[in-house]
Amino acid sequence: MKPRVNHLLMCTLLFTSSIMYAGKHSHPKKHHKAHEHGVGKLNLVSEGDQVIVELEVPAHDIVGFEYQPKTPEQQSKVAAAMAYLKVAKSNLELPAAAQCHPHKEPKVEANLSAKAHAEFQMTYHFTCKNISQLTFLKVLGFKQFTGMKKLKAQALVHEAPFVGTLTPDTPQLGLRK
Amino acid sequence: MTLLRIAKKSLLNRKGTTFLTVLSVGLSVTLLLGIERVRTGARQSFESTISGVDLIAGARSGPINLLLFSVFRLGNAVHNISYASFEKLKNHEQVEWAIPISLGDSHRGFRVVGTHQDYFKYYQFAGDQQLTLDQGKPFAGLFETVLGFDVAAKLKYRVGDTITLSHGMGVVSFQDHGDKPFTVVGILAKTGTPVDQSVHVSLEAIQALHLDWQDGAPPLDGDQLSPAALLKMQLAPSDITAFFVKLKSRISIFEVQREINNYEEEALMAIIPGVILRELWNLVGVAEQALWVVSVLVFFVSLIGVMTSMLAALNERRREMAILRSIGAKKSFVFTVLMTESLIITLFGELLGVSALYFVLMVFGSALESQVGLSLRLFAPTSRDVVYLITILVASLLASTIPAWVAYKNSLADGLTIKN
Repeated sequence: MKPRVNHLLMCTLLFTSSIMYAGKHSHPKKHHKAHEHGVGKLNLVSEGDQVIVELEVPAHDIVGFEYQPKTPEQQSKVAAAMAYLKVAKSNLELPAAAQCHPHKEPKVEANLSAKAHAEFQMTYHFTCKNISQLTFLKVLGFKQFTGMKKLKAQALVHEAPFVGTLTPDTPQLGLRK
Repeated sequence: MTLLRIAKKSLLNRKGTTFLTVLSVGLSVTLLLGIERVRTGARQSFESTISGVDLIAGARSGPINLLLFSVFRLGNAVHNISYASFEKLKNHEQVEWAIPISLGDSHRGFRVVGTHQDYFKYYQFAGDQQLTLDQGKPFAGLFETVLGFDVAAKLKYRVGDTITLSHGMGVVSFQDHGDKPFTVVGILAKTGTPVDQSVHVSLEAIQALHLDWQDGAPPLDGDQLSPAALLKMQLAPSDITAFFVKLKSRISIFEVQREINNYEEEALMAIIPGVILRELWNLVGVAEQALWVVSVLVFFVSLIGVMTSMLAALNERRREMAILRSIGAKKSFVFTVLMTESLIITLFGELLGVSALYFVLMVFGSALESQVGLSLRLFAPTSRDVVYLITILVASLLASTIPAWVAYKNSLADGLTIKN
């Protein structure tokens, strides 16, 4: 009899554990985004005369930490970064010939209270009178924030895709067809 | 005129070497221009595989993987995604249309794509070209299929034929869906894209094929559901492999992409095909540059060949030069004769090379296109080709200044003195 009981026990255990396993994994709700210090993202898209530029930069690269600012020094650092990033022209340069003007207040957010990694997220809206002259986009923030080392850039403009990696030495993405 | 006649006669006098030199120049020209054609052709056919689609969404894996299996029918999906997620995202306010695809089965080595009738309406390639039916009509019934051009051409299928699909990939399959045959109702016109190598059925058909399967194994005898029974059933797809999305406005592309990437209920991922195609191309581009370097090296070798053959010939032509000089030809004339010869060799070499290239393209072009999907169309030489040809000509002339200079320096007496 004994071996049979063991057998039954084994089966029950296996069965319950497999249910538990399935229950744990069938609804994946905890996704963890990849995060790499020193590497941010830049997206540019245009339609008609509208241009949207989005940036996502790890907070560490901008202010040097990724938690709720504690000291007054850290607080002023975050405030200064926010103030800088909120002015489209101080962070981005577009060709003058394209006659682009910000037509909406830039949106800048930093999820510094998050438990895991934190990013600065920026969205800039432009209206360009002469979009055909939009031949490049330069990120000036590299000079302001020395922690920023790399931006993976992708752009959809002039009916074509453009991809590139921007660095402090090459802060410009060419958008010539 | 005298100059050309002398050069021509002298070249004809050494037919063997002249022919070989022309051949080596010709081969290097074919190689250099051919690689250029392959490069541009590959890029064009690559980037025109899919268009008019803003996003491709699938289970979270790698962007390149998603592109490869959804567009190029290469490799496999890591996971499928639920049909419910697709329906939810299809009804997103920014989405104009979304087409689902379901992969996994095959027919004699060709991939089966389970999809919606909208696929034939919205799928675009090479700019704004739409899929058109060469024969027949799109599928409407459960056991109906529309074949890609190459599938029909290679397996000699016509509208009205019946075919059997197989589980998994491979030309020979041990798990056939033999109990549920499909009728060919349409054949698509050639597109030059992986669509040509696809067998299209409805999503419901994919569902029907596997409904009586259990735990990934075919049904035992007696457990199969008959096609007639399946036709009566209300079939609803439970999962798909990926879907194509067209947005109402491109400006929202990154926003919708982020929404799909952060989709709560399921681990999804969306890619922008154009961006990934470009990234993938940049990756492959290294091989392309390596090819270019090889062809440039081949060209240099052939240049040295031209130079060597002329220098080597100089020794046997000492008497010829001396006779020319003795009947009054100037030193500069001897120099010009040699340069003219090199000009003739290079020109004929280029002519031979270009003709050989067009011959190869004419004979093997369509075979390459249907076999590898590489479009190498016949077209007039591009401005880049012309630049290459002129560079080759100039380089070869520069290289022949060396033998010409040696001939120029040789004294009159040199060829007339009898040496042992």
